[in-house]
Amino acid sequence: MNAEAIVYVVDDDEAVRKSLDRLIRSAGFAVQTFPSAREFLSCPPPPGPSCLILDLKMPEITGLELQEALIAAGRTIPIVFLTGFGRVGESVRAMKAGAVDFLEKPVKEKTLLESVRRAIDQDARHRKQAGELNAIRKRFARLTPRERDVFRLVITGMLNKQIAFQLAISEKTVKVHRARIMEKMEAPSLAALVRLAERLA
Amino acid sequence: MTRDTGNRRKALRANPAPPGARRGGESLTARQSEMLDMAPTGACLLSEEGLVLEANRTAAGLLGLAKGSLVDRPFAGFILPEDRDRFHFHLRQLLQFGLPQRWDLRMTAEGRESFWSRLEATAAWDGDGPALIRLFFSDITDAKQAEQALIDTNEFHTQILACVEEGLVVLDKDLKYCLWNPVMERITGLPAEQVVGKHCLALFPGFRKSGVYRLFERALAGEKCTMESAPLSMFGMGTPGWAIRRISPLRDFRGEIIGVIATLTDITDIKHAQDHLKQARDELERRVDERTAELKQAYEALQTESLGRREEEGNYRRSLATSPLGIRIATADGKTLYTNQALLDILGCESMEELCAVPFSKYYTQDSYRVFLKRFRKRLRSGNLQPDQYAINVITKHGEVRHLEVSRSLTLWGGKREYCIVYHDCSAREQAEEMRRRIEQLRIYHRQELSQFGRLAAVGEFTAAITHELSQPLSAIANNAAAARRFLSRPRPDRAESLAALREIIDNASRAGAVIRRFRSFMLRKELHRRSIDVNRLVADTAALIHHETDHRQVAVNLDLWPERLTAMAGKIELQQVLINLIFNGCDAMRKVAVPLRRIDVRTVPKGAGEVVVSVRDNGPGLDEQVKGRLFEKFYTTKAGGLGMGLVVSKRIIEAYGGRIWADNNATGGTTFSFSLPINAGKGVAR
Repeated sequence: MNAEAIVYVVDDDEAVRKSLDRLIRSAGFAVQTFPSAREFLSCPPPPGPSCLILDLKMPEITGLELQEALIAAGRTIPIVFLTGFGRVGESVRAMKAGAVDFLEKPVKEKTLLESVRRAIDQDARHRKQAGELNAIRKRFARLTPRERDVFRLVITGMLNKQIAFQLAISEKTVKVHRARIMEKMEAPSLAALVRLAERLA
Repeated sequence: MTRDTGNRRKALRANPAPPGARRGGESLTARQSEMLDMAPTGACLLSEEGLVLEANRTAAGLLGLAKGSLVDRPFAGFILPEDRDRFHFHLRQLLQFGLPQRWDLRMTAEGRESFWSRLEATAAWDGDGPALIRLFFSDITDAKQAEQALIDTNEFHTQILACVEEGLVVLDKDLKYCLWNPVMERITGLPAEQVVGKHCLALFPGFRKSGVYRLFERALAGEKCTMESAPLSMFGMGTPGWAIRRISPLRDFRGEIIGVIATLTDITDIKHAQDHLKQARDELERRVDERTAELKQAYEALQTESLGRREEEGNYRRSLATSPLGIRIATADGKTLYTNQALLDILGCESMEELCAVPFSKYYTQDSYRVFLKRFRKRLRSGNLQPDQYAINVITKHGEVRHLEVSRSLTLWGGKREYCIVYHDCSAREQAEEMRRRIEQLRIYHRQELSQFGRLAAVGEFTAAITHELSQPLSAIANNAAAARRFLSRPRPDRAESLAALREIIDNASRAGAVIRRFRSFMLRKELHRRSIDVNRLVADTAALIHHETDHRQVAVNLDLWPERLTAMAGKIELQQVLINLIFNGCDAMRKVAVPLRRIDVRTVPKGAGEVVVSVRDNGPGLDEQVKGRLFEKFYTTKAGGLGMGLVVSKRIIEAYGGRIWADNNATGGTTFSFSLPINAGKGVAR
């Protein structure tokens, strides 16, 4: 179902950890478990979409502290919190910091798996957007400095003539640059080019 | 004389004589002598050995002696002992090389403090005779002091610069560095020698881009500028850090701008400290949030708990208020806290305020008051705290004398000593006696209810702990069960995984069981005391204890006790509590039953060889099947003011002693509640 997706589980209770592992595997996800936040942090970030199921109350580094550490390290993995007894203050704090869900133990199978799916989807979407943006940036990087100048003016809707005047070059040169820009940015139309520019900004 | 001496002489001759110097050996003419006396400097002619041969008046004045008495005295005698070596050194220099000497030293004189003096000495040589020394000296103390002051000031300024804790920089009008203090050296790692005299842009090209150069120019134009949070990296250093720069024009005493002065305050530490502070504040805020949530929960729990208590207290108060007996609650020092209507009526007061307007003892007749005081003191001395009964005469507001019987008991309420005093107007003595007993009973009942609340709180704590301990294995069980179901419902069921899940379920179920066992044994150990109890006697005692209450409710309590002694290991108080609870439940159930039919039967019988059964049978409407199923559920109640805890606590107590508790509807109507207890082995059914 989600062959490339991976669900991480961090819980200090071995029985709970193993049972979560089994349950999530039974739903078709790949699972990797960690007995502590420290061990999770030392594991390299995954290549594919992923999410983290995190016990709130753990010795040493708590769930909330791990969440903070991940945010500080710029790792944007979606988190589903599990807690023995939910406290309003902690749940609010976790959700504010971007947790996908805050579930109370014992958690219902359906609730948990739905949260996991939502988290994985969210991460996949996030990764896709980041990937696209990266591609557009790469394309933009191929433009020469002069082409970039022209690019900036083209997307404001200026005519070739106006651009030529502004940059003090001939209209014909502008046309050549323009064609190269469309080709390098892989934009089929001016409208598409403007959209790309918007995402770059 | 050696050859050296000859050379020296030549050297002397070649030297032009200093102004005013005279050839040695010459005696002075009177006019010359007079002129010399007029000179503003002291002048002496010394022999080679340093003895004064001649001196002018000024010299005598400076040395505080008459001119004549100076002659033949060693000049060194006027020199401060510490400086004499220098004096002799310079004379030797003079005599050896013939070079005029000029130096400063401190001199002493008759009748004045030591003074600084500038000495100029030349040597005169005449023929082969001994050398003569012309010595001129003048008091330069003032100049010396001024000089010292200047040196001090300079050193002071240098010291200030060295001590400034901020980077300090001065640039001239061309923006070349003039001053670069040690702090700047430390911050930038550049020694002053490499900086001073260089143009700022030549040293730090980055200044143009970072805007510092612009600020220098503005300062030259007379403006003061501050640059908050300038990165230290502008000096081209790798160390990260931050500083505040303040740049001002440097003016001379005329107020003209002659350069720029800039300070640099390293605020890296402050910045770090601020960051730490912010972190600490965030942490604190988080803790406060947590604590607030916890407190909120605790508060809610407390509210739920105290709601029941308030209701109970309300009942208690109502019964006090409507009592025909006068009741007063007072502090240990006699201040009235509460009186009921009956007491107001007895004393003829309209309100409690009116009653309290005078001390309560003012209502006593004089004789009564004397007797009361005597009694009171005696009791205080003996420390007897038992309820006290006595009679008094009081005078009412209307002037009547009434004879009251008083019963006073000490209570501890919330840790405070209070007296509950019941006044019985003797005309209604019988009734009052009854009321007094009722109130006593109510108080016993009330105390028991309170002790149940204590238990309830304990149950609450255990519940929280157990919830936490159980949630882990229960989570594991739920997850494994769900996983097993999923693995089995696949098109090709995964047997291995499912079996593993089932094994985990079994393991965690026994883990949960262990948690429960641990808590149960903990609770028993902590709360229950057992001793051998005569069950028949316990039932009889309890019935007697609540006799007044059951009478009041107009319920007949009938005891049907097994003729032989039955003993069980249990706690007396706990068993009494259970029994009272069951009997009162029975009374409550018969509230709507006609008075002659209100009857409770308490029976004790042995069951089999090992148990004794106590049953409480009422004549009420009996139990619905639905109610019956939920009888022992926590907080389940059919009574208007009930808590739904009585039977829960009873069940817990009985089960803790290894017995059971149950309820049956009677064939002839009403309900029988029964509990069994294991008979105490050995002393069981005594024949």
